[in-house]
Amino acid sequence: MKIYKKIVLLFVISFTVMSCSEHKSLQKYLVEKQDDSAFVKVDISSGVLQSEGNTLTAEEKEILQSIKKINVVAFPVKENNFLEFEANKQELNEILNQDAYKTLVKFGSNGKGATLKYTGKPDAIDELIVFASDDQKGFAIFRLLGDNIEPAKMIKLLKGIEKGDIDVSKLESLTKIFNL
Amino acid sequence: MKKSLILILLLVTPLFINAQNVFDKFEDDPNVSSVVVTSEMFKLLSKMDLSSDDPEAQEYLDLINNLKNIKVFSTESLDVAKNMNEVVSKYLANSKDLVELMRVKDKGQNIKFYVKKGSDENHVSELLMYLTGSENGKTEAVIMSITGNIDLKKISKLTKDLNVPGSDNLKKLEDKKSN
Repeated sequence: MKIYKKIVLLFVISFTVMSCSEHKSLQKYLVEKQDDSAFVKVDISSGVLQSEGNTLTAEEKEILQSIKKINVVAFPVKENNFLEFEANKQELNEILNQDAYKTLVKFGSNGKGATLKYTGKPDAIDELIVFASDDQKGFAIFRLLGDNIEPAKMIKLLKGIEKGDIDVSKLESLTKIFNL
Repeated sequence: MKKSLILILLLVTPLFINAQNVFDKFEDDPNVSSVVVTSEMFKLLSKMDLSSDDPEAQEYLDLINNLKNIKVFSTESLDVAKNMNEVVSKYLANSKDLVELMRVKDKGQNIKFYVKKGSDENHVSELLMYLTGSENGKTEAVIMSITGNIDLKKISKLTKDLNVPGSDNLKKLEDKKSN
């Protein structure tokens, strides 16, 4: 009997070891940093993205509505905040390394890097995340939040950007944060 | 004794289920440039139902839809290059079904290609390229690993677009096969 108890105990321990890293979500982290002045934040609701006099079809509008908002949080590196930058970057990496955040593409080179991730299912995306960082400039998290965004339909929407029905100029102000 | 061994195994196994690919450790090395495209990406792409009227583009899409993973790691640091050499040798020793496809020595660069057998003679399930040598006085080591259902005749097009050094040699393979 004793040995079974031990097995059960070990199972419990090993599961705890496995799961203890899966606590914090990106959302929670960002809420925590809400009032931190080192961060720059921009929130854009998807309604704003429709340009005036657009010729979006009802279907395209519906697709656009599956996107709730675009949320950008950036941490520009300034003098004297490099340690803080490193600590935050580390924390974000730990959060994003959880299984729920599925990696799509990853680039890295000489202290610069970008990762594209998503949560949800392949045909119903909840959150599309770009995490870009540069040891000289800082890091930025770009999030597209939605409700069951279907990739197949997103392609159609991208064609809308080409036609000028979706106004991406609102996003251009973001590049100024980083002096790109 | 046996019981405790089993217990240890039970405890340790879950930790290894999430074990990463042998090359993944290079991802976080600051001296390594890396590009990783995961199976999740290809899963997503296949859901996107992309199609094109251009036959060449369509061919490209077909190729991509059959891929699982692409990983490219390159370095100019001697230490990392040494480390890469160790990892590649170990990997090759441990995976017996990976056979050498070709070897190219060109302008001070040594390039080796290894493949794992796939569905037919034109397809492989894994393609590993390992490049060492120097170009323009810079020492370089590059590991490229592609998995999936890979059409050897078409893959050179993709690796060329990804700017993988040494990948033009795959084109030779294409020419050879079609002759």
